[in-house]
Amino acid sequence: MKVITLHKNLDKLLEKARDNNRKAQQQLYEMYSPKMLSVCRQYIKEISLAEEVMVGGFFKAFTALDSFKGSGSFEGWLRRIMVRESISWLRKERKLHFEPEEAIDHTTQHAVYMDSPLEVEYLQRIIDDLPEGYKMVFVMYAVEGYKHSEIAEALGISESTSKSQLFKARKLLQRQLNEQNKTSYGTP
Amino acid sequence: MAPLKLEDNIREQFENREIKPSADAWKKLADKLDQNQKPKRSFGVWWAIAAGIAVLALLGTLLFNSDPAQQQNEMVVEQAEQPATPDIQPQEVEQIIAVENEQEVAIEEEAPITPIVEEEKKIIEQQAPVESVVAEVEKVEDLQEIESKEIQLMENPVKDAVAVTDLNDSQQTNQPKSDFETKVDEVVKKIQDLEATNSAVSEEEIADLLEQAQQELKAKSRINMETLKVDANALLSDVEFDLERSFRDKVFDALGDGYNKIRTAMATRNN
Repeated sequence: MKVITLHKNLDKLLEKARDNNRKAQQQLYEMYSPKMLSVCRQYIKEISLAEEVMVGGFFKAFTALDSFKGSGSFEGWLRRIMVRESISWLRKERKLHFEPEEAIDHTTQHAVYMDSPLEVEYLQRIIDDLPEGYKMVFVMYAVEGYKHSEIAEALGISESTSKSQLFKARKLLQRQLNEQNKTSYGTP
Repeated sequence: MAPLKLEDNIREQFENREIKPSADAWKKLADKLDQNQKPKRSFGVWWAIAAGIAVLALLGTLLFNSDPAQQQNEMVVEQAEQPATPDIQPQEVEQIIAVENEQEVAIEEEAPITPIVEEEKKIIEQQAPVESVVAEVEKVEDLQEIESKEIQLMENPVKDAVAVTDLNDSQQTNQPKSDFETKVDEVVKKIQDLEATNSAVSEEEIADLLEQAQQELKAKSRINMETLKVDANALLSDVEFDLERSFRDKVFDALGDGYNKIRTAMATRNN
């Protein structure tokens, strides 16, 4: 019941927001901005910059609300807008550059495993330390669930480059985790 | 415990993560949205104003021009009617004038022509105009009114003309002047006589003489005194006058009709 009423409320809010009802827009913003800032923060280390990108994303979402047909979830639609905004901001800042492709070693295990769940702050920190190109592809693939073809299209790279970036990102993360494990195990 | 995939861990953690934006983030967004709307609004307002002015101008021109437009339409109808009824009459008048001009030119050109036998003169005096009338009748066959008038006028002269057709063309054309010439000679002689008796002849005397001669010529022109036949030229001028009158009357009639139409149109305009 709660979900249905929420959905109905969201539809009403969206309808009002489409008619440029500022209060409805503010309500939507308050509902989704914390999650959306989190999305932008995945790609952009500086929180104030991430917030700026998020504001830009909301602006685009509210001015293009007509293009949201309600086929998917509004949150998913917003997230995609935020990812696109982050990509274009990184592009504009010339922070996005992808290292040349590297032959992927299929013998090694790609997935990174760990013994215990890690805190989100720590995870964010090790992701922040990744080169921008690696980070972009890794977050899009691992967190947002994009396919390589979609990543390639969004970033303007080839699918194999996307795969190569993901592979390198995993390798680096693995190394980071191993080092962290060593230090934690090493400490008495 | 099964090994934990880093990526699953990251996804779970990040999907549920929330970072509260700063307080002024919404203000920034609201400002941006307002700025985006303002130009659109003002643009729309300007368009509305421009459209309003255009509509007012259009209405204004329509209102102010409505009456003259109707009148103009009526006028067009009138103009179309006028030439329809009197049709050939203007042409007719032109033709007559043209014939007259030709005769005048001929008179001017043939001024120094020797006098010719009187009988011939008389016949030819009638002949020349008759021919012109015949020509006119041929041209204006479809105009019954004029035709009838002219045929009446011509009946007698035509007979004469047929009789004289054998005469020389040059002689025919020469005739109308000789009368005029002789009169001029008479006047000149009179002046010479006066000069002979009185050493100085006043301008008034000469003017009197000229006037006398003119009146005599006019009288002669209508009716040839010797043969007592009606002068064709005079008749022609009468016909011309009649034609002019009838044409004028028709024009006035047409104007009257037009006026009535306009009056009824104006009266029923508001119904």
